[in-house]
Amino acid sequence: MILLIALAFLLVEPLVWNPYYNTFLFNTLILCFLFAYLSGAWNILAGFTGQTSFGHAAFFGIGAYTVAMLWTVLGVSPWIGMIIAATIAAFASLAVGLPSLRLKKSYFVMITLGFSEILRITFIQWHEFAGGAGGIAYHVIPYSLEAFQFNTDRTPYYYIMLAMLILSLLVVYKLRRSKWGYYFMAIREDEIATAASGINVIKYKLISCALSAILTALAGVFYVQFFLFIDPDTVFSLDVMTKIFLPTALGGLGTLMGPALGAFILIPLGEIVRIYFSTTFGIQGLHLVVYGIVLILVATVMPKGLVGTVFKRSKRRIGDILSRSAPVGIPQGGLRGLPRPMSSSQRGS
Amino acid sequence: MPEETLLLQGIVSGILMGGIYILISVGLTMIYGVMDLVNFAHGSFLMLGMYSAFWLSFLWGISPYLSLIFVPILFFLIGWVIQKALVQRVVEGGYMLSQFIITFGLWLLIENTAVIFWHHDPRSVFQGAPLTFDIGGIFVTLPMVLAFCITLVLSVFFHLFMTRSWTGLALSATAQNRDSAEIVGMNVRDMFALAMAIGIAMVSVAGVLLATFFPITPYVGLYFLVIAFVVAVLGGLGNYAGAMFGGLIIGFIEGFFGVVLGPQFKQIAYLFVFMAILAVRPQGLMGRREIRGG
Amino acid sequence: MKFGGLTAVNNLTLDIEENSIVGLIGPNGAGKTTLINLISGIFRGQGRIFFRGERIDRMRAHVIARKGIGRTFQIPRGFGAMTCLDNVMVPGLGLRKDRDDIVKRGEELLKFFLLDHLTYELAANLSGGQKKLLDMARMMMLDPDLILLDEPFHGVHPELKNKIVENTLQLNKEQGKTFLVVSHDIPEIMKLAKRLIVMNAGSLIAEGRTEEVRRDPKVIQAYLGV
Repeated sequence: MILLIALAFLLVEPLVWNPYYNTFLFNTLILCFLFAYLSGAWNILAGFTGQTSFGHAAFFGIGAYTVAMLWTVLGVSPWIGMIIAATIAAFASLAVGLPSLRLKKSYFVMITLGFSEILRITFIQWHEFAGGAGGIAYHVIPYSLEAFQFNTDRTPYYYIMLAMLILSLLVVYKLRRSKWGYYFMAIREDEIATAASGINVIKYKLISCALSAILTALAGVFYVQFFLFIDPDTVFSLDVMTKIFLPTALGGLGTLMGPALGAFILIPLGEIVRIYFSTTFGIQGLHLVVYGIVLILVATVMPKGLVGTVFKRSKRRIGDILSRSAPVGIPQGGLRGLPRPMSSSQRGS
Repeated sequence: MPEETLLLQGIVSGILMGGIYILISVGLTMIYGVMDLVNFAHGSFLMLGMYSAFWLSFLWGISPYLSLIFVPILFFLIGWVIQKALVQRVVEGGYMLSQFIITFGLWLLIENTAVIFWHHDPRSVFQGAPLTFDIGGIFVTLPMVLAFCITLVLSVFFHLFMTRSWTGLALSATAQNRDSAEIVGMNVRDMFALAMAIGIAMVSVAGVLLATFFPITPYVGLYFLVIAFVVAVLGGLGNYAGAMFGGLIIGFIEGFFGVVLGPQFKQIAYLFVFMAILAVRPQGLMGRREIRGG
Repeated sequence: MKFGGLTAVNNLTLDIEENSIVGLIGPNGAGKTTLINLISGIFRGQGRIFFRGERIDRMRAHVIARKGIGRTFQIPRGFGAMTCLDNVMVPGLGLRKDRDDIVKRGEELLKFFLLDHLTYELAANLSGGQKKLLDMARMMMLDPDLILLDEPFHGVHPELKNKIVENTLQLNKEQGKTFLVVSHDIPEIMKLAKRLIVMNAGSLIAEGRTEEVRRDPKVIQAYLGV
């Protein structure tokens, strides 16, 4: 019920409130959609399959830069560029995942972070075509659907991103009850039992990784078309990376609505903090400090995220709605992490 | 400059830098070895170390080399406290993600607070050109040489500590088999704190030394963190001796490829090294622990 | 194969006849679980393992599982965040069957292992013995022909033990399944196995019909002397 009301509100907002009078709300909502989507994509790999990545900004950046470079240099329509970007992102994810996903999770986290950072540095130094540290700026053109740019009318962007978000939620919803979803979660829970069940663990880890990367790259495409400007320090940044995973960590890893819930809380909070403090006090980056504190709190106090901890017990209504967003088989949300690994059945006997 | 000299120059500079890499990575690898924790905040402590050297020098004229006496002690305490107060909560039986995000959150916190207070502009401890020696056509600067020498000395002491002292052996034991260590009566929690404290102290030394020749900004953390990852994995995660060799090797590779491919491709070189290690020999040069599977 | 400096399984040669139930016993550390891990593909050693004439020692664990070798785990493994039914269904999703058929088979398996009252319960909430049964039920979804049971009676209630024995005998008799049962629980092994294999310190020390092996002095010494 509440969701429907929220949805109705979101659908109607740009029409009712003239964006020019309430740009902050309008733009913040778009950002909320963007990061709810991104976090959801990350959640597929990290929440459902259990492989934490700190390098998703890399796929985001690949999405943005591929489209931007193809457009500014070769005039390729972003709709086509999108497909190319997704493909590149998928291959990149496989390249990174293939050596590392068969190892302990720590290795994957490290290499993804390394990959993202190295891409950032590389793009800073890549002047030909990619603009180096200055990035790529689009020439503003009149409203054009083929070019995926809408000039001063920001409304289509709003609906496109909202549509992407809703679609991504549907994807996750279907995924959870599908074969892939079961396999992903089984892998998260116990890889050896999964292998003993006849499932090729590494194959499905890679599928999950590629899927997540593709979805993430598509958001990168949206980003560059919306902002009409990217540079390495924006797209491959810690800022973006944090906003990709923090909503899920806060909202509830491995749940359907967790990422969205987290995004709708954290993004406005971050924006308000950022804008207020930088305009009033000239302080930059305070929102990241806040995010850092939130992370530490989530890690120590609420590892299962909001859906898992708070809504599990509270008012039935909200609890029910959100718990229906929990992964298959869990009446309440939240992740059962792997307990401290026991030396798996290798000793004794 | 003739080709070979250029290459040699690159290699020498690279290896000198490798000393710093050793100091950073030994701490990181030890924290992982003892606690199974990837310390994402490691780079920001490096940064704090650098700024410590800077402010001590700028405000009170204390030379970085002098500050090496007490800065590590301060950071040792900081590391200890952080482990006990924060990290301990997620280290045993926690969710995997919690372990990752707690140091990540710490990193965000530290780095961005530094940005707020100290701003982006690069600082340096020493103004003006450093004292440079010409050794057979290769130029080396005094700060880098000093840093390297201090690193070597510290490495020897560290190795002696780990292999000859009770505490060092206890640390090794905890790293290898936590449960057995506990059964034998070691206070494993304190070992965790000790590992973190030593790790942070070492990276602070790296920071102070680095500050003598490298521009100081709040953002250096991530750059060196990634290098530390590569070095630690190359040496074998958890194996400090491996990290020592790894540091020199990566320094060499960086220097070598910096000349051969051009300075902008240095990073690509060690990305490939990273991927290659994981693909071919994931346990690194000296690692022995079981690393397959989730 | 070796772990570090320790040889867990050393030069072992054995044959297991189809349709039989063979017991594998031996003192702690004898290498029994390692053997199971080698057969099921979790470990890779030197040497050759044949299943129905096909060499499987170089195959990966999931491929071996699909060939028809199932195994349980000494400390039961499962998917804690998923329900019992989900747990049992996971292996089945790879089979070419309708989802409904898989669900049905899952429910039947749960019933066979006395877990049907826990169908929608989270696997993490089960007791130790129930987890063992779930482990078995999940393994059975792929309908394996060779079943390796690793300490199935360990930490299990007497009534459940009987149920496990009963199920094993039934599966062997009615469906011709072959079993290799690792256990410390001699009385239960007696009920099940006509042949015994005894290991100690990684090597085979005795093999043959249960009654004979029981009286073998080497076996007695292995158990007492260690």
